[in-house]
Amino acid sequence: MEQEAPAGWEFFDSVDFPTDHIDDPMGRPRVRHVVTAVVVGHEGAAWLPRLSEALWALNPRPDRLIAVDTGSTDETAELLAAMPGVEPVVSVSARTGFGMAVARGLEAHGFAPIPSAVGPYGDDGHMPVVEWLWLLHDDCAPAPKALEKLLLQATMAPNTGVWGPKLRLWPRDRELLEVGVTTSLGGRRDTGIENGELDQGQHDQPRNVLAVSSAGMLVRRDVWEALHGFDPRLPMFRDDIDFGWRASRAGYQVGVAPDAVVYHAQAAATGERALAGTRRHAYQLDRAHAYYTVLANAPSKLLPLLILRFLLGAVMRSVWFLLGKTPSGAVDEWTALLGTLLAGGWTQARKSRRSLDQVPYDDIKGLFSRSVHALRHNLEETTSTISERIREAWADEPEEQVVTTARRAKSTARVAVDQPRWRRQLIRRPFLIAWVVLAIGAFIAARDLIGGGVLRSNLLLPAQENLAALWHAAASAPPGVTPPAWLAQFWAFSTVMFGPTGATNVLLLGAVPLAGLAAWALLRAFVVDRVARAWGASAYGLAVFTNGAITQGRIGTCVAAIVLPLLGAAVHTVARRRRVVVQGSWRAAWFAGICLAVLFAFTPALALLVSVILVLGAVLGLGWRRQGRQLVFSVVLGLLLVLPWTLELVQHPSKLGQEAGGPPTAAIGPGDSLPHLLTGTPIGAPAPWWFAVPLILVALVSLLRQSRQRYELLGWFAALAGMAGTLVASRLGGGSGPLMFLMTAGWIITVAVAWDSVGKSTEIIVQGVLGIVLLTTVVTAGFWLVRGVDGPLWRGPAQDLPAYLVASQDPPDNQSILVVRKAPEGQMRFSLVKNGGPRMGALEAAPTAAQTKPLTDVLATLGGGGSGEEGRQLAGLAIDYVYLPGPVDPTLQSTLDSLPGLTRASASDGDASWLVDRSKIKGQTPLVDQTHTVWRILGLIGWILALVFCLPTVRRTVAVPQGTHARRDR
Amino acid sequence: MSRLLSDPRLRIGAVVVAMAALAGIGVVIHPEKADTRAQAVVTEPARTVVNRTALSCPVLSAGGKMASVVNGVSPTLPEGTPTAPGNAEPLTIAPLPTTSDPVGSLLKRGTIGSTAVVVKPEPLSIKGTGPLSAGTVGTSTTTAEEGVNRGMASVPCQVPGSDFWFVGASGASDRRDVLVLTNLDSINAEVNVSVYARTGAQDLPAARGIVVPALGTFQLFLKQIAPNLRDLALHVESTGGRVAAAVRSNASNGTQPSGVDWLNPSAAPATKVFVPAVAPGGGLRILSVANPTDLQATASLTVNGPNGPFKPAGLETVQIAAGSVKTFMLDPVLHGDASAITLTSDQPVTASVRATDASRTEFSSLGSAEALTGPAYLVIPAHKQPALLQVTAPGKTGSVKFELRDAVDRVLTTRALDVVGGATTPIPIPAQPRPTYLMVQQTRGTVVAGVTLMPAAKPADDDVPQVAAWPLTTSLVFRAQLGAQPDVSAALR
Repeated sequence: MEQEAPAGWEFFDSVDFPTDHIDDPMGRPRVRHVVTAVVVGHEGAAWLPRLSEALWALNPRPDRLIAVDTGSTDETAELLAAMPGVEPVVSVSARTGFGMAVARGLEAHGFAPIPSAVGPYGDDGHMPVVEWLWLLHDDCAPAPKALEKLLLQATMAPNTGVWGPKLRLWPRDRELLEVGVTTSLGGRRDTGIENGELDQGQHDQPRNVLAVSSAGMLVRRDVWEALHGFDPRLPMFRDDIDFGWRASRAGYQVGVAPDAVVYHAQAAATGERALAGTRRHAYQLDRAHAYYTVLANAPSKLLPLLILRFLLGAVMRSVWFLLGKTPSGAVDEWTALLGTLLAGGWTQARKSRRSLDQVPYDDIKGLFSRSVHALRHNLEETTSTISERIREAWADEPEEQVVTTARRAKSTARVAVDQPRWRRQLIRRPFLIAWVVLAIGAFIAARDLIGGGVLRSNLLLPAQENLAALWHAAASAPPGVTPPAWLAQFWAFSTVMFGPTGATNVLLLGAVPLAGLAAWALLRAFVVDRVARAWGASAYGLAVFTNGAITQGRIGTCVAAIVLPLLGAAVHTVARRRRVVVQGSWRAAWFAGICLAVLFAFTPALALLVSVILVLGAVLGLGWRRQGRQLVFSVVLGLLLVLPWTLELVQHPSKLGQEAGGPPTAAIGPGDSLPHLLTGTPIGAPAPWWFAVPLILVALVSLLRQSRQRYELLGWFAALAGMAGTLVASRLGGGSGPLMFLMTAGWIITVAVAWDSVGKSTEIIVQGVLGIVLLTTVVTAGFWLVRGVDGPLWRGPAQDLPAYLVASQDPPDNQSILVVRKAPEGQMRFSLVKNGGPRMGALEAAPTAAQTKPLTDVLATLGGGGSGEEGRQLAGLAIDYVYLPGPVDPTLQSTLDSLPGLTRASASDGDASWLVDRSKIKGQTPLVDQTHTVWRILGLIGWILALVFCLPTVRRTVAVPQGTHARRDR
Repeated sequence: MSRLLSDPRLRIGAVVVAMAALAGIGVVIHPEKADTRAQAVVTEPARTVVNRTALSCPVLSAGGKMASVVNGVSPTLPEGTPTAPGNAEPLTIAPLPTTSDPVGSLLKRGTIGSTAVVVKPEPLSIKGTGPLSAGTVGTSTTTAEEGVNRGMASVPCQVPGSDFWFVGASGASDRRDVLVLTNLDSINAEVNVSVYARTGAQDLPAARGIVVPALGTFQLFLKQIAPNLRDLALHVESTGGRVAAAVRSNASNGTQPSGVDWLNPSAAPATKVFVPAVAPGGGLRILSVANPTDLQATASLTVNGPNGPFKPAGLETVQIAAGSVKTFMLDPVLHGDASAITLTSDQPVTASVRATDASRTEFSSLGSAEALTGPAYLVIPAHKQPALLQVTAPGKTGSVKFELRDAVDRVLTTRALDVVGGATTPIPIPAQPRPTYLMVQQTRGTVVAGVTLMPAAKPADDDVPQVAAWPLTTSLVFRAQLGAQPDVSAALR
């Protein structure tokens, strides 16, 4: 069919048009290039007109244009046939690979004939003739000068047998796709281009590369024939790299001509066109071909190392996939590796390629990308994946839009447009300012608690010395005693927070900003007004202070304050009604379960209250539907994750009234005081109870409003539930610090929601009420800054023993010290100090009465005057020192003074110390801990599973090379 | 529900009513006392099971024709008293060296074991382990018809310890007082003795750093270290090892020996001091009060007579200078009644009473005692005259139960009685030809008790006066042993 040129284009017959006009600026003899172009099309109707156009514009044009259609179902064949000067279209089956399609096209039509050297345009044989093959995809469009520039480079560097253009994004974008491509020996395809990198000429030096993409690849005919084209074992993925690698090995250089630009649509990579002519996963295919390419071409001396490296990489990638809940990815990984390794095709390929070797590997070594780059890329990809997934995390269903977008846009629109940009940003982010103030305030409030030593209070035992000790303590307890669950979670937190001491500092001293941040995350879900949100988050943070959790060193309440809003956000995600078909979110349910597990470990009473509310709410409010089941599931998960501890709580309900950290907190609560009960301020809190009164009144007033009562009533419900819980706990003799915190949190949510609704109002009454709330918060904050360090929390040494006794507990001595305290007319209280003394969890995992019986007996005898045997008995219990802190009981002191086997040792002023003679007696300590390895392993598995399930899913990303020829997947 | 709550008034009303209801409940029900103890605290105070005993029974030095005997018993304990498990290994009465043969043994609970009466006594110990150990008591008694040791010297065998007080010793020429320190352990003990005299605390280097050899005794002659000092108070403190301390006192009136006895130890200084069992009858009654503190003590003195308490005229309030010992002659105010003395002082003091017979040829000395808190056991040697159990309730009316058993555990007398507040009740114990043992148990109130032995009011001519006094102290088994509790926070300030 005779083609008509598009309007405005001159039509020249390519046969008549000389292709020898390329002037060599270096003055070398002119070369006559004869180019045969092959276009392979597959379902490319969307792009082919553009290619057609580009071929029209091309100058010079190829001498022969061969079109191959690989079984397209659309009008690809017609479009191919309409290209300028094209040979009759060659049709092949849909399963044919790119390389095979090219071969078929060449078989059908052959290379372009060499123009006669005689005749009107002939050069009489003076010019050497070079034949070229130019490969084109149906979704690419060469720039008009692309072929000219390629041939110019070819003229200038005649040694290079394969040339590639610079690939840019379709249709006329400046985004770079490829300027040559290489691989690492690990099989990673590396273009050296950042994602989204713009072409600013930064890669515009012609250079040798390992390979070029097959889109726009210009191959000298002899090279193509010597290498027998693309490897038929690689129908897609890595065929170009394999070809380039083979060319490099055979001594034909591969170059990239950046002046030649080809626009590429990446149809396969962007998923606009189905991939793969195989049932196998694209990812698996990609990996398999990567392994094949490397195995077939790498030098033999590297093979063992490479296989080892493949195995290692496969292990790591499978772990990543398993963590990302894509186990099929791991299966792909292993089938690809093992399939390639065991199928053995690569050994034959090696054999047939041995004849190619003209260039030693060391000469082309520089063309490969270094493994470090691959690692860096992997890391970048991983982090970007993670951040992307976290951004999606709470959206869960991608089609769901955040409901409040319009309102949010309204609230941010035209804020302080006349201000400078930075100020405008700040005004638009009031919480940022509030949070910075809180963070600085935390430092000011903790001014006296910054320094060496560990944080302690009468409700906080010193933290463990290091992670190893905490790890040990988390699962070790005397036989029959359950180690507290919170230690394990605290360990996990400590691993990222500079050890146990650092974690204590962060949790206690940073509780206000951290809780504020968590509250902000919750309020973001349903409070739109930024000022209201900022106020709510700050007030919530300060509530941790007014509750007394920081000054009293109650780490349990601090943790609960941070976790509670996260739990709230997760429950909100599960329970809210959404305009999508599938309600609820399993991932949020898993996360809620994790939050509940933390609450059960740190503040069991609060966790119990929240769980009861969640279960009742799920059954009564949401019904036994998906959302309800998810909430019940999260409660069950929370109970399971802290498992041996759950049983302990059931067996000893009195432990519900305690919170984590150290000595029992049962005394924390409203006591007998009605105002304290009603205002949610525990006795002993740093702020007076009437600080909460304005908040409660405003929360009451906010019930007067008409709209959005759901959230306000929820807030009040939380407050009332907290009050009921406080009442029950305090009347049963338990601590209720965290429950009272829940009351304050409920009121804050109520007021924040109300503020959100009326914040824009200009009514003087509304403004006045909000002013009161703001003023109260500001006053509380000032109080916090001034009185922040008042309280039993202090910083000091981890042990109250003389330094030599502290040091004696360390290896290699591992000595143990019996500390005995006796009040006049009181009982003796004793503690066997070893391995660093009493640390976090030591009270929950205190030795049993049966274990301490030998010690109790010895001391009871000593209290009665002793029998003279006690020195030996103490030595028999492997006790090295007996220490009496002041005030020393004179009777006991004289008894110990006269006890054979004990000699006085130095002690602090007012204390007394004795060295037990252990020279003759080996001794064995009565206090032996049992490590619950089974629980530890089960717990680790459970937590990892829970974390994996609440993390977003990993997607298998195939680094689809831009040049991949896409084919139908059937 | 949700429709109801859509009315703002109902919403506020519901919330306010809920808060009010909770507040009401909070007002009505009071909080339970929070249990802030650590988890593993044992609620039951641990009580020690005694399974080992070692008593030191001192003896007089040779002189005259003496008959010395040690009687010991592992008494019958009240029902339910825990004793050590295992077979009843007999307790031995033996001289101190480990190589020596036992001279007696306690084979069975409740049966008094005695040594043979010897004329040349040596220090003995009652030792043993096993179930019989609990509550074991013994008494070392020496009687002599003539010589320096004429009369009766009887003292309960002592539990080794580290802190002893003796009041009423003397370094003067008419006395020969010796502090006998006995070490029953197999390790040397080191002892410091502080001496307080009428003139104040004494600095006596010779009394410090005394080494008592393992399984041996050490005798400290007060005449040597504190010559011519009267009215001494001794504080024996062990700084290493345990010792049993006793003060042997031989008195003379210049030419004739005027009796021998052991000074019973006094309780540690306290602001309220009870001296029990001031024997009835004629003779001197000398109260010695020692004030070991650095401040002058002002003490008020109460006599707990048979008819009730009274403050003796002129002695209502007495001053004792810092570090000194002061004596008071009480025989004019006691009128020969069986009494006890109560001292209330602003500084910790300790005291003892020395009692002689009417002829002043024999004496006894009883130190202050702590109130009974449980059964007290005492072996009383054979005595020809009736002895007197004197029970005093220094405060409110108290009640005691006592039981006298003979050598084969037959109950001779048993009685429970109330003691009128502030009064002393004397209970006569008839003369016994064989040793007996006494159990006195306080059942109510504050009670102190002691047993005294005085010669007959109208002695026959050839009678050798025998004066003795034995304190009653709560048996170690029943000593208020509060025990020890494991408590992790004990290691922290």
